[in-house]
Amino acid sequence: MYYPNADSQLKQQASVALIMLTLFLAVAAEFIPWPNALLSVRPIFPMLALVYWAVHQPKVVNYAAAVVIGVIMDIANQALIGSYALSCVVVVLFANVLSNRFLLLTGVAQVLHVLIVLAIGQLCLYLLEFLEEGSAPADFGWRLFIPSFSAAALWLLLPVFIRYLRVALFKRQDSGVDY
Amino acid sequence: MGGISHYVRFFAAALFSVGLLIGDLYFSAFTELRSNMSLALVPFRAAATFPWNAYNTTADYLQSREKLLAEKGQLEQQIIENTINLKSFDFYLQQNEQLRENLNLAKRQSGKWLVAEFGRHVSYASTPRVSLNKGVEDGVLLGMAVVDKDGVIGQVVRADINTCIVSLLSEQGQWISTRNRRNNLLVILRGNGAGRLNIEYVTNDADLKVGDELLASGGVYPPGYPVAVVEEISTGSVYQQGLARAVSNFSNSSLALLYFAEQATAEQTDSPILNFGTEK
Repeated sequence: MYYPNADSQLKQQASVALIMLTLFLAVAAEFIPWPNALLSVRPIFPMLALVYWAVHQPKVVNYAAAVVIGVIMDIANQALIGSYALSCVVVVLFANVLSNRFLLLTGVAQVLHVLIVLAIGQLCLYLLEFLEEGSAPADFGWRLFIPSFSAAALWLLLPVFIRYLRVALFKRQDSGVDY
Repeated sequence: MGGISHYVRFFAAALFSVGLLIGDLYFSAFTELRSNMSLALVPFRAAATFPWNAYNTTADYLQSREKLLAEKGQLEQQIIENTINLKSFDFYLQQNEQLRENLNLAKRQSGKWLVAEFGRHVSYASTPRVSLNKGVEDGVLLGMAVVDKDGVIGQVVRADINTCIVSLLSEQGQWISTRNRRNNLLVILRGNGAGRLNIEYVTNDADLKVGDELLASGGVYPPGYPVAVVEEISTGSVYQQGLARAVSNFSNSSLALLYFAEQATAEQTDSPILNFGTEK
């Protein structure tokens, strides 16, 4: 089992920079205009990135990070301030709860766990928005959770992408550790 | 990180988020906070969309000369056609105004237009919404109608410093009053949240058929602008039951028009948030 350590200051600094960069990219993906056809399948990148780092670096990516990312998302989507924030906090809670045993799971099991965590986050978001609107939409169903499915499907590719980023941008040796 | 402190942190963060929610719902100070935060996010937004914008700008710049010339030819032809149409329209408009004056009817509502570009699509709960690149700074007010070249899209529901969010007509809770182009019958449409508009309060004996075009009857929406086409209609106990499909197809448009109904514009004050829903 891997426990992230922060014994090397340099390593920690690089990790924090890498975490901030990936979180920035995840939020940036929300700002990019997506084609209509892909809108309903657009993965929820910020939540995915939060789950990833909450599992791998729970001491760095904690509830404060979730609130900050969530508020940025609220402002970006002009949603009620606090709705994304609360959803991100819930997502980080579940990711933190899972973090100790998570890396012992097989790839498929990890994807399923991530899917559930993201779906809970989305459900939380929807519930808050329904409360504000006063009613649930007529076509509320599993299709609304497609962004969670598509984000979970990217889970296994994330370590590859992050490893590539680390090597390319921070000129660090690939230690095989996914952070 | 111990078990207790972990959950304490969670509750603290959750409470803080709930506090933000309550604050945004009930305290007007949050409107200013939102504007300031949005302003602070402008550089971030610019940095995030820079690669995308750079790609689009470069792609536009590198368009072939032939393609641009062809486009120019098309646009010139379109200008001529529009000018001809506009001239006959001016004639009809004058005639209409004269008739209304003779009949002692109120003057037709006029309005002003503001051109905006579509931004990204956002999801609000299950409902897709769309953002535009114009905000309060440009004079956007909550409740303003948004149209594209095909028809009415919806209404501005949130306005930021330099962007605004538009809810679509098909969104649950959206109502619009229309007139049937064929016989001027008043038809009320209500978004059903499933991509269509329900036809409301049309009595069984009213003349409404599948394929009828419904035009905006006024109010915040530009009068006479296409809204929807009747897709299904059947008789109910008192009222007909039917569905209409909005004619706007904003996925194919890059530009939208925001419509200020002049009466509403004069009566709105500076704060768009406070004036939402005060349609006269």
